[in-house]
Amino acid sequence: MPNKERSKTDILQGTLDLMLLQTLVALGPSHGYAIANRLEQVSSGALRLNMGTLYPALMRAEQQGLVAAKWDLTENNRKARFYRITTAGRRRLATEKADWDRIVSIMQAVLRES
Amino acid sequence: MGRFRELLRRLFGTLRKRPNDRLLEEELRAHLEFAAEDRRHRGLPDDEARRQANIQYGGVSQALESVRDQRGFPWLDDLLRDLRHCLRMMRRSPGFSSVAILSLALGIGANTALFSVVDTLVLRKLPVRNPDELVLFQWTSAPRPKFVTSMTYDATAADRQTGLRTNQTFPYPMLQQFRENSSGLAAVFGFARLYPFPMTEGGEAAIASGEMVTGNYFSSLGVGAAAGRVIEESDDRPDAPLVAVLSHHHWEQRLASDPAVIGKSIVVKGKTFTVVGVAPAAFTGTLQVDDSPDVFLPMSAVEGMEGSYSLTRPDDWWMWIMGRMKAGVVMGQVRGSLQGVFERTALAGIAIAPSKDGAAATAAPLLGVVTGSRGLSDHRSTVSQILLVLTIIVGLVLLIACANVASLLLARSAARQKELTVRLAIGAGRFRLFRQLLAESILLAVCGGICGMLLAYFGKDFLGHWSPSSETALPTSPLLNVRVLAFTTGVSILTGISFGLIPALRATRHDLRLPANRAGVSIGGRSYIGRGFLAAQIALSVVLLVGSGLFIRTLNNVRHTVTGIDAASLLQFSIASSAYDRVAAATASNIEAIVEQISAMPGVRSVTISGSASGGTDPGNNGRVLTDPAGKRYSVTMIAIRSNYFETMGIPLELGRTFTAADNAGAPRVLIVNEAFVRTYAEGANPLGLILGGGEVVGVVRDSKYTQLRKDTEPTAYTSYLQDGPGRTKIWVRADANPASYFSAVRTVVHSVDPYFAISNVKTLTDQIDESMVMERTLTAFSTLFGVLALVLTGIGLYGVTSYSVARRTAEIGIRMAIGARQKDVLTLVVREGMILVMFGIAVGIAMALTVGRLAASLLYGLAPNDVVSIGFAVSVTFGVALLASYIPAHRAANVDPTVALRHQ
Repeated sequence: MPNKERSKTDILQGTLDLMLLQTLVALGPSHGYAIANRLEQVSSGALRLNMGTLYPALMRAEQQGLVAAKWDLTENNRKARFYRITTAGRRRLATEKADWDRIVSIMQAVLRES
Repeated sequence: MGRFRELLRRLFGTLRKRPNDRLLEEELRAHLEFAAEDRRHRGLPDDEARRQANIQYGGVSQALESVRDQRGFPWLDDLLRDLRHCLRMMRRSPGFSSVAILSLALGIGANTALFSVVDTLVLRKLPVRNPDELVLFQWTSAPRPKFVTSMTYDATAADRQTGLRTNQTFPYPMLQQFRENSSGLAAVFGFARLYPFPMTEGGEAAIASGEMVTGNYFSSLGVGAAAGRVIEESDDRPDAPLVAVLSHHHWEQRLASDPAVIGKSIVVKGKTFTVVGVAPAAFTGTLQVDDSPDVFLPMSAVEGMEGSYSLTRPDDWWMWIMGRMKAGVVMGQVRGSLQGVFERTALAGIAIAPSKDGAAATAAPLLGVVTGSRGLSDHRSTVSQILLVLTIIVGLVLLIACANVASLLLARSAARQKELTVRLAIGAGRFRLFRQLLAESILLAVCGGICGMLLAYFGKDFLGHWSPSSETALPTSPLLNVRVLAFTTGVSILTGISFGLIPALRATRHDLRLPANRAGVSIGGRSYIGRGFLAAQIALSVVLLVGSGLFIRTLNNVRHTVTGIDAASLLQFSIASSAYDRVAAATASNIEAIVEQISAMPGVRSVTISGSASGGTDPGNNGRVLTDPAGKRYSVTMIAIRSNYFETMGIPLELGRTFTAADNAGAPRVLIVNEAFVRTYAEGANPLGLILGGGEVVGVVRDSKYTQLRKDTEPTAYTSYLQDGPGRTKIWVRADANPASYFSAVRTVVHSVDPYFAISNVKTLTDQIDESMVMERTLTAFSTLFGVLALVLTGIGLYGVTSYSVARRTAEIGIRMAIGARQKDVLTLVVREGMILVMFGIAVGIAMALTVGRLAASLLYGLAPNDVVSIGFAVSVTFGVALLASYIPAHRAANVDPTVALRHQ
């Protein structure tokens, strides 16, 4: 069903930034593929980001100063662009995380009651 | 904060795109490469690994596209792309572009030039501290009772609707009263114009103009000195040493910015002043915009000076009064608090002309308070009306240019229909296409705006020479200030939108189902919108031409009001002596010597003198109030003349006698009055024998007028200059022919007789009259120029549309002729079609002209806005041009060989 696909990306749009920032905290500076791979593993394959979703989100975060990026070499000596979370990014992550927790607890309370 | 940063970076991202694109692509490729590598590690063969990576993460180019949208502003990207496309289109059709840009440049240029004048005259504020706190006092009076003050020329003409007259001058005691009673004002100060006088500076006399100011003038305005100091409170005392402040302009022009000028002395009307400072360059006094004084003098120094004003008399109305409001005070409060004071002080010094029905004068004049932020504005009411009319004219020109370009765009969009259809067919968004067409017209308009700006800049002399008063030219203002720039930019963009909207809407409305190859022939001569634009142009041209007809006829009427004087072959010049220490008799005998020497020149018929009579307040002010033995007051213009004045000027005597050489200082005082005096004061009765101001009326002459042609002749009393020595002297030379040829000869004579005379204003009376009609001439020149321009634009438009429709109908015409239509029939067919449009346009134009004309009514003279001659003239000229413009293509069509025409398809 095509609808299922769409609903997945809808969820993503609201929370993608949060997930990216959290991933960068967990992994340390990492390139786009590492981030996508990590998200796929953590979600047990549920989150498969294509580049058209991932990179605009990274760029938006970079424009807002939440992450910083620079070209560097991987352990295999390959050139890649590494993203690193900034202080502003950490602050944003903290507030968004708190918001998220609050929403989840509200939702849970509401859903359980009915 | 983050949002703003994103905005900035996006903007940045749009601007530097190319190098980033490569890096981004590299990043995306690396991503796929890592993915493929992972899959190879899991044992997949190389090409399968790549395939799966591609499937999961998407293609590089699609991702690139979405990142680009995030990186910059997609619309800005599109806009830049649109503009590049527009430039390509413009280069591809240079003919179209240049015609369009030229029409727009004319329209926008005219508007820019006018706006810069409006800016100088109306919008610009005084360069002083908080100009909005300044107020200017004025007073109004109803037609009955008529209040008469010594300042006859100050009052504005009565308002058409209310009959109220507005005055802005007050007597000096009023200033003191205002000072003592104004709780809402932080300062009250006064100033007045000192009529051009000979000023000696380093030995040479030259005519200069001055502004008399109260001691608190500079400090209240908040104006400091560019060099030295300004006039201070302590300078404005009767016993203070005489000091003067020069204007920056005077210092720069006449003294070459001499840094050592401070401390030097100048001689004004026989008194020696020490220069203590120079005013700042931007500050040109608070008189009218075009009237910047050479020198500022403290008011107290002026009293007692020859032909000066009084600081004590309540009936000497001569100065302007301004105040600075305290914070939080509004003008209504100031007016309210001072009306009572004003009334009491005013009635002590005002003459009330008797009303014919003998009703008692009960109404008092009313104090008015207006903003002083722009200095004096007593000529602005006329000026603003002229500016309104000029604004309408240039606005119409811009509209015509818009209509012209819009019809050009329509015609061209017909030619581009194929391109647009193809673009729509291959998936271009309709809005996107519409936006691009609009961008094209805005670009055209902006190019037109830039050219218009240049046009206005180089053409500003045309406007610069025009000035509301004939004596001085407008200060040539720096044309390009921020307001003018903003105005032109705004006008250009609005213009672009207004002429581009309809063609763009039409072009993109196009139906895709039409086969692309047929689309090229659909829109064109039959388009109602295109014809609508044409009719609009015709209508607007009619309006402009009616306007120019009205102004041409007004100019003509005004010129014919020069009455009672034979203006041809008269030369005039003014002389003023700078030798004030000399006894008046010596100066008088020198003037007589000058008259005699000029009379002796070959070709000179007679020479005479007129001047302001003594006893007045100022050489420039001829207004006097005379009293008869019964105490009745007569307000007159008083002129001192030599005995041969009437004969030389050609003014006939109606009653009594003229002056003779016997009416000299020793003889009893005598006066001659004009017919206007008899009408106003004697109610038509014989005024001979009337005793006025100690003089007996001995003659009546016919009315004459050669300045202020629109005003009725003032009641005038002439005195003999032998009895009432002339203040400022004007010498008149009646020559047999060509008075201009005596210019240098009279100068030589004057300086050989008395080098202390400053000579000025040497011109023929015809030139003088022309100068006094500067407003009429400006309006005529302006409206005619633009009327003709509009007509040419319209003619070209009509010619183009008719030619186009004839060309499209060649086959049809061929068939008509093949089956028996004669040349005449074809001619009629084509011309009639164009003429229906023209008639419609003309009808609309007449209706518009009648509506708009009412705004110009007060600028006209001797005719009404619905003047039949002007309308007839406009209609016939437009009709003639339109007929010609459609006849030429029609004639061509009628002469087509039917066999050729039939093969045309």
